[in-house]
Amino acid sequence: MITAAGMDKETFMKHAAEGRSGLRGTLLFPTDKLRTDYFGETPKRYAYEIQAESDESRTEQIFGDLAEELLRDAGLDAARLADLDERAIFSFATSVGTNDYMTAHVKQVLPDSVSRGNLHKLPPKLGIRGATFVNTSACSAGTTAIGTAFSMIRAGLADLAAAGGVDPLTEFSTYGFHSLQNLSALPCRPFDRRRDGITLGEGGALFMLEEREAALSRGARIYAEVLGYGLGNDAYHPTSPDPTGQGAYRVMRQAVRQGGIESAEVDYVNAHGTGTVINDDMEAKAIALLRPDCRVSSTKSLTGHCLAAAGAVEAAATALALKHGSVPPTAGLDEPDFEDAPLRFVRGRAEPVRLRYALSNSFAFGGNAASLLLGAHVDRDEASPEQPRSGFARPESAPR
Amino acid sequence: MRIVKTGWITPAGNDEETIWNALRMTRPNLAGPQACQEPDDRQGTWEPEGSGSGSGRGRKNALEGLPKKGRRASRFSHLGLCAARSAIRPEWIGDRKAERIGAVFTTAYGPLETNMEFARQMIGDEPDLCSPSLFANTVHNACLGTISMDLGIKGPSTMLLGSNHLLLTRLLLAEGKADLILAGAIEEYNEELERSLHIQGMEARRVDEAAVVLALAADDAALPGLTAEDADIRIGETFSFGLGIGAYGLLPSGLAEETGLVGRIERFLRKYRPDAVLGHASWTTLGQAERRAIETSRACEDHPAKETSSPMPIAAGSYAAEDRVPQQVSAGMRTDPSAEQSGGARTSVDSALSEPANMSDGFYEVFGHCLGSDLTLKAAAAKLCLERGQIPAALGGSAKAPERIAVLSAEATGNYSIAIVEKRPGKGR
Repeated sequence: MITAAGMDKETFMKHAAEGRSGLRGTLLFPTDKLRTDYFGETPKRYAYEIQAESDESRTEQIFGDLAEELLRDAGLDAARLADLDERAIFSFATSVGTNDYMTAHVKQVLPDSVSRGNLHKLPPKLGIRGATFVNTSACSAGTTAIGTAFSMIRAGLADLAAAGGVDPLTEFSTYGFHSLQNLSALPCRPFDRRRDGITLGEGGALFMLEEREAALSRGARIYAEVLGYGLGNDAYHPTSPDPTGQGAYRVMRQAVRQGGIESAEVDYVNAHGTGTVINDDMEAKAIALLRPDCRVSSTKSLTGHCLAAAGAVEAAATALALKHGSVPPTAGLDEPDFEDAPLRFVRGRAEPVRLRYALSNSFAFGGNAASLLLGAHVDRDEASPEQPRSGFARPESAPR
Repeated sequence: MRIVKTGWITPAGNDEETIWNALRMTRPNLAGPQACQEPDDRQGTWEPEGSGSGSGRGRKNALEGLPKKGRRASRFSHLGLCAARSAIRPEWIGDRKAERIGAVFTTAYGPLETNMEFARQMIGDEPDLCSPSLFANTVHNACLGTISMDLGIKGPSTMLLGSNHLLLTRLLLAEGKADLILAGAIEEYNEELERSLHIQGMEARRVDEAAVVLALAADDAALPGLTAEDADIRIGETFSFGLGIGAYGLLPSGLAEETGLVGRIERFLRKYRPDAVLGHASWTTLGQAERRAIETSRACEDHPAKETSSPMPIAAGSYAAEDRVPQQVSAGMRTDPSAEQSGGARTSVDSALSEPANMSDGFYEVFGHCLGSDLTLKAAAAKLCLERGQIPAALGGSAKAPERIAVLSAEATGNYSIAIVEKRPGKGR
């Protein structure tokens, strides 16, 4: 996990515990004509733009670091994954991460390079030779990529799946959200009464997914269990969500149903929570409809909006919350809006609480909506036996 | 999963009859790159944002009837919308919950014209002058919003880049997340892209554009007004693996060895025993590797070619084999006389050819290389062949009715996909 709030998950957890935001200024490109100076740039200085055909793009650089951490943490190596051949697959999300050569072509830095791409270079860094899924559904892509990997394993079509996403901070997306007048002048304040827009971030997160019993048998560290996901489309507006929250509610409900739990069992929602008036209003309605007294926070206040990688980053934050029993807060949430919605906004500092089930939401331009249901993993010797469900065992009940 | 309807926007036409007629010609009327002729079945004209630079194609779109919110869609989205509209029957939407119908699309380069136009605004370094509606159309999935709003569908919806939309559709249907999914592909032509592809070493003679949508339903899904004949064709299997190389660039001569491509294809063909294969053109590195796989699989003792008298159709006298330069035919279509005598297709396979079984050269002559739409376009063409019970002249020609066709495609992400398009079990084989 690499974000403005830390170059690894331990640092992220530390910052999240304190409610310390990683949003600050950037030197990647001039910001004097923009309405904000705040961005979620990664602490490590990755080269911003490709200057020669042999250069690694910012997406590749971030991915390379993530891949190393992923293999180390999963206790795997590229050779082991290569041995699995088609049984190891890759499900990845990016959006502006596909624009490197297009931008270099338009800027005449690398003329006639517009057809080039770099996504084919990513699976070999992990030794993966199986199917590749690259999701480009904008801000819902990361969540969908993880859901896709879950489906592949659940269907018995893969033994291991590397899933997640990376998106870099770029002028392209910054100028775009500036033109939409969506950028917050200050660090974003999701669900706050004074919220005025988003803060762009960058980074990514990768997961190694495998069937629970396989992970247990090889002694893998398990952070959480993927139980289900929902996908849908608001069919309402090119850039704005359905303000009633029905689209968001549908995908959360679909995820919960696939997971075989009741809505009332959802303990926490890592909200899409961009900090725009429209999104947060819609999402609060949707969550209240699903689970009225649910804990809710938006980690975009810590990392910025990582666009296509947001779903992956926030799924990682959710998995860490489940594993460590610590709900990350929404930074900058001083005056919660939605007095009528009985949601329990976590703010200030992380809240220690053991969680059973949590949702991570992502919504996008084009009306795309996605929600991922994660469950706490309970070690077998701690829990009573329960029937595995579609390759992913249901975690045992844990104290709330 | 069953293919219950198709929608086409292609250089060879926008409906099955027109496309089938083009495929029946041994030498279609191709005078260089073909512009997709978008349907003009509604009043008024519409100039999409993001079409102002570059391509020189498809200038006007008629869009009356699209909800007001969708009128600022890009040409890329409009291509997808036109194909999607053709792939669905109104009664399917009206009779079912909107959330049970989804859309899973793929592309290689997305709305590139729009992205390049916005990037040119961006380097002007005046962010206040950048167009917000242009930016909203730069995301690949903007087309899904346009399609979903227009059709009123709210089911599973997502956009992939050069990879596995058919496989994801299969997974979503199997999980019961939808009853019907529009599995589509869109690629928009751009002159700068074509120039770059050739400079980077792509072996395609002609790069083109297409939007193709397959309406896919679970095998047991009931749709209003759907007859058994409507749903006679299915996608029986999908399979993919990573090449680890960008399929549109200069491919290494040792591609087959480095990627294990030949062995993987061969194993698949031996397992599924297709009657025909629609892969890459014979003059390309990928096409040659595929031909080796086909040859090897045919030589296997357990292959139906040994067991029956109907080997895979051979690309008979492909005009593509005459030279490596795209044909410039000024006017008219040349129909193979034998095709006319036999009601549209050759009655025999030209056994004098030594080329391995291949329908591909003619396919690329008719459609060009449509990049991210390649796999879907091939699957749709295979469906046509299966429905009409013949391999048409442009694809090699065979009057024997195929029952199962393998379609092969290498994608922008290095993903290599194989799909089996076949008659439903019990209908033939």
